[in-house]
Amino acid sequence: MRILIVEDEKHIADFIKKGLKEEGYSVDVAYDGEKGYFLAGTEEYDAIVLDLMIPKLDGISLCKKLRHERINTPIIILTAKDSVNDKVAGLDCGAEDYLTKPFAFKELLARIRVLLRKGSDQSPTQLCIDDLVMDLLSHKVTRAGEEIVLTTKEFVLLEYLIRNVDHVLSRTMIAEHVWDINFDTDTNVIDVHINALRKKIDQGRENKLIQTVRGRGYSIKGKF
Amino acid sequence: MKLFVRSIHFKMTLWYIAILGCVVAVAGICMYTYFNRNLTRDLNILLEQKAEDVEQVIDSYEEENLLERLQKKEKTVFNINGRDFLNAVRYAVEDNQDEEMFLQVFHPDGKEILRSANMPFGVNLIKKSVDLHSQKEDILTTNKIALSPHKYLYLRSYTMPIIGDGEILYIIQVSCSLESLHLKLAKLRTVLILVFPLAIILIIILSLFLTKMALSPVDNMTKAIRQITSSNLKQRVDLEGADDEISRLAETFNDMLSHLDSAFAVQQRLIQDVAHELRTPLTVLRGTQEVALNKKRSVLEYEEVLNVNLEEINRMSQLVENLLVLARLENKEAVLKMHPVNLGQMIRQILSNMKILADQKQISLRFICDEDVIVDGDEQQINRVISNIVDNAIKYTPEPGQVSISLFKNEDSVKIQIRDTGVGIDSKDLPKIFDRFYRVDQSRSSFGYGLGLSIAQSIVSAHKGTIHVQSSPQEGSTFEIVLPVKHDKFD
Repeated sequence: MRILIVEDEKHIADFIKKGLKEEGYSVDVAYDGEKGYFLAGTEEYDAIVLDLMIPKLDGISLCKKLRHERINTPIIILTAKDSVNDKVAGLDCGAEDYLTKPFAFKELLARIRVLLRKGSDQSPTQLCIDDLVMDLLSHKVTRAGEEIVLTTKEFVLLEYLIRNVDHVLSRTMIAEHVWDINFDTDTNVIDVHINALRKKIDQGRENKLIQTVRGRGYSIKGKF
Repeated sequence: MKLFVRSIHFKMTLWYIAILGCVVAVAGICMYTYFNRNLTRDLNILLEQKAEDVEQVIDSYEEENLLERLQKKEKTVFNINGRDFLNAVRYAVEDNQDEEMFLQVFHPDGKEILRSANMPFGVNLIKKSVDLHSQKEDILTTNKIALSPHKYLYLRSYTMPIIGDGEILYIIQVSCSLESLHLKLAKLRTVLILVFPLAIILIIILSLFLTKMALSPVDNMTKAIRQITSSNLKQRVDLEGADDEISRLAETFNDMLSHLDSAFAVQQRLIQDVAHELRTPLTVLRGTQEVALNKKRSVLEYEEVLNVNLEEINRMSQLVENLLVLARLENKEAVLKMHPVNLGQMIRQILSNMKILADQKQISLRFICDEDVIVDGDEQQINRVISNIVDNAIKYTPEPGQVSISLFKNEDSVKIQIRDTGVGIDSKDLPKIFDRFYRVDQSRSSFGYGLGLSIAQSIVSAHKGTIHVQSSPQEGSTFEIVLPVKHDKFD
């Protein structure tokens, strides 16, 4: 899953980026509001972590602009402003959540998970499809009770597929959400990873979950 | 009770009681004395009148006798032992009979000739017969007569010697009992004595009431004020119309409350600002360490985390230091170490320190100074002020640019002007730049905490100087610091 951080304090942006990447997320950082607005508008993100006191275009205005342009990426506001009025203003301008600094990183992670499950009936900590269970906390994957070991990238790829169950995901989309902006789209890394994933979760089983849609991309089919 | 005894209420009441009590007592005494005197005088006059009446009758009788004797060609000399005189006296005494007055006529030598019928006893001629003879004047006396053991009669006597040819012929004495007079005075005394304590009680009650009334506005104010201090500082004491001492006190108190209120508000804001400012470094410290501890890392990574944290810790220390400086300066706690400071030298040094920074941005530094100026001041603090402004000038000037410092000496002050060709300050920000934590760009990535100019202003004020700024966006800024120069006697 791909996350945009809009935060001007370099040290803060750094540790959030590092922490999120280690959880398997792809992360982009914008150090001011204008850059943040540009990235949010042109790239596909699954969630945005937004600080309010940023230069050039402040957080609240940025949020309002995005919503006005029907960009509905879930946003969590992260800020030192903690008054009730600030919270109300933040949530009313279109953000989904509000977290004050200083904060526990664990909490940020949990809230991001909540953001990611918005719109689906999945629980924030587990993704299930047929007999496949993905535990987002422990990063364990099991199918029919049997544990399957995946690499970080495979895990995130599977997560992305399941979160968009029944939707066809193009290679571009997969590249944008599972890898970060530095990804070189000319390679066939995606196909390689899909194959590896297939081998691990579908091979030897009757019900194949991962589907290839010719000329369009991949998807995963199943029920919860 | 103790509280009451020490109160103004009590003291005022005591004063009232004392004064009014004295007034009433004095009035009573005056009244009594006046009465006494009047009654006595009236009595005396009556006695005198009576004596004269007796004399008159005797005289007219004597005249008749004289005429008779003249007709009879008898001797005309006054004879006190003669029958004529005796008749005269008898007639006079009977004629002038009076229930209350005792009439007596005496020989010049003190022997009683006749007394009025209402006198069962005799009263001696007053023993001052010697004086009578020598002074030949009327005398008033008071005699105490014993009627029976333990029963006395007080008599007022008017003794009138009748003079003829320079000699006392006979003496008339009219006496009267002082009993009724004494009774009257006794009655008056009784009344006064009864009334006095009642009056005092009335005075006490009235005084308590009056002083309480007089002091009730003070009491009301006290109640109102007590309410304020326990609830909040927004309330004010009610000014109840009257333009008197109490309302003036209330006004002054309200003013004080306003001052306190705004002072508290300023403090509150400061505390909030500080807490707010500390949040960011704390977020970094917490976050970097939390993430670092998520899994085992290389020594290099740990070192990086520690370095980042150290940076933030330094930032926080700076903040705390600056705040303390600010607080001390504003509390006038800071004792400035005043020495003669050579400004020219100091500025030259600051500029040479900043040269590296300036060179990086291709900013040229200039110093214009006609003559070195020496001021009395705290070297470290003045250095801080100038360094801070020059530092800002360099930071906010894009390359290439220029920062110039000029030193002007006036009659009794010196002006330090720091001009830059930087981004300038918007007119809406201009009045606020000396505020604590005010940063033109509200995000935190702009440099520092926004305390530098606040501190600068405090330091300049402590030196009894002034600091001003002129600026427009894109046209640079000019800071002017004016410091007083004491005239050296040995200039």
